[in-house]
Amino acid sequence: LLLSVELLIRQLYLSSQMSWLKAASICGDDVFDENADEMSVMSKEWASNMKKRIRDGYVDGSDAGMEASLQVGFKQGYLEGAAMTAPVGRLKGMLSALYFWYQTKHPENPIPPSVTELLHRVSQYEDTIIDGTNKALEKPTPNVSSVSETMEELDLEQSVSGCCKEGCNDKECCKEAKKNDLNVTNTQENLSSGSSESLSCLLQECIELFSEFGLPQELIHHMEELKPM
Amino acid sequence: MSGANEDIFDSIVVAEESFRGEGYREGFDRGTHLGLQDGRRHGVSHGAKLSSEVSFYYGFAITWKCLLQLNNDVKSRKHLKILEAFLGLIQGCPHEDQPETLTEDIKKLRAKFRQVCSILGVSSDLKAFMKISEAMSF
Repeated sequence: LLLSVELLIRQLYLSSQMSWLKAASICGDDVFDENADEMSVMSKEWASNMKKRIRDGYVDGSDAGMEASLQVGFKQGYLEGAAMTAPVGRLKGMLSALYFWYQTKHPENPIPPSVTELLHRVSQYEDTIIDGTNKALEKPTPNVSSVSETMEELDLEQSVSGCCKEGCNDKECCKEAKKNDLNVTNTQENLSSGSSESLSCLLQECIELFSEFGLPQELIHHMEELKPM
Repeated sequence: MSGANEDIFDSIVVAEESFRGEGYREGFDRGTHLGLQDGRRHGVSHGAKLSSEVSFYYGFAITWKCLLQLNNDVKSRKHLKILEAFLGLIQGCPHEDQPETLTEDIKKLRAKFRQVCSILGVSSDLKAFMKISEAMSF
C-alpha cells in the first residue's frame, strides 16, 4: 500500500510538473480561456506540491538540526549538572570517611550523632538536587529551560546564605536562607523545594564539625575550596 | 523552443529546491533548538549523578588520606599507597570533559572503591550505609 501511495504521489507530482510546463508554454495563446479550469487545478496542484516540498524540507532540517545539537547540548548540560553536585558530593564523601574512621578508631563508642545527623542532611540535600534534575527530565518545560532557572536559583540561594560565614550557630541562618529563598522563588518549583538547606550552611557546619574533632587543617582547606566565590 | 523548455525546467527545479530549502532552514533551527534543550536536560541529569559519585569518592579518599597520614605504622602506609592510587584514578577520570569515555572510567572507579573499602574495613555498599545513617539519626 505504501509503495502504491508513493507511486501515486510520484505520478501526481510528475503530471503536475508536466501540466505546469504545458500551462507555461501555452500561456498567451488564444486557447487560454478553454484552459482556465485546468489552470486553476494546476496551480492548486503546484501549491500543494510546494507545500509538500516545504514540509519535507522541514522534517529533514529538523532531524539534521536535532542531530547536530544533541551532543552539544548534552556536553553543556553535563558540565552544569556536574557543577551542581560536585561540592555536596565531596562533603558527603568527607563526612562518610569521618564516620568510618571514627568507627574504626573507636569501635566501642557509638558514632556521635553530630556526624550522622550532618551526613544525613548533606545526603538529603544532594537528593533534592538530583531529584530536581530528574524532574526536569520527565517534565520538559516548553519555553525556557527549567534547568537554567534552577541553576540560577541555586546560585542565588548560596549567595543569600552568606550569613553562615561567621560561625553558623545552629539552624538560625538556615531558616533565614529558606525565607529568602522562598521570597525569590515562590512561584517556581526549584531544586531545594521542601528543603531548608543551603550548601553554604552545610559547608560551615561541616567545617565546624571537623574542627571540633581536631582533624588536620588540610581537610578544612578541602572544604573551604567548595565555598562559592 | 527547446531552450525555453530547459529554462522552464530549470526554474521548476530551482523553485522546488528553494521551497525545500526554506522548509529545511526553518526545520533546522527548530531541530537545533530542541536538540540543545533535550541534550542539555539529559546532560544535566547525567552530570549531576556522576559528579556526585566521583566527588564523593574524592572527598572520601582525601579525608582517609589525611587521617592515615597522622599514623606512621606499616599498615597505614600500605593503605595510603592504595588511597593514592585511587585518588590518581579519580583525578584522571575526565568526567567533566569527555562524557564519552565515562562508563568505562566509572566502572574502574567503582571497582577500585570497593577495593579501598575492603582494605579499610568499611562497607562499600553506600546505599545501605546511607539508610543506616538515616535510621540512626531519625
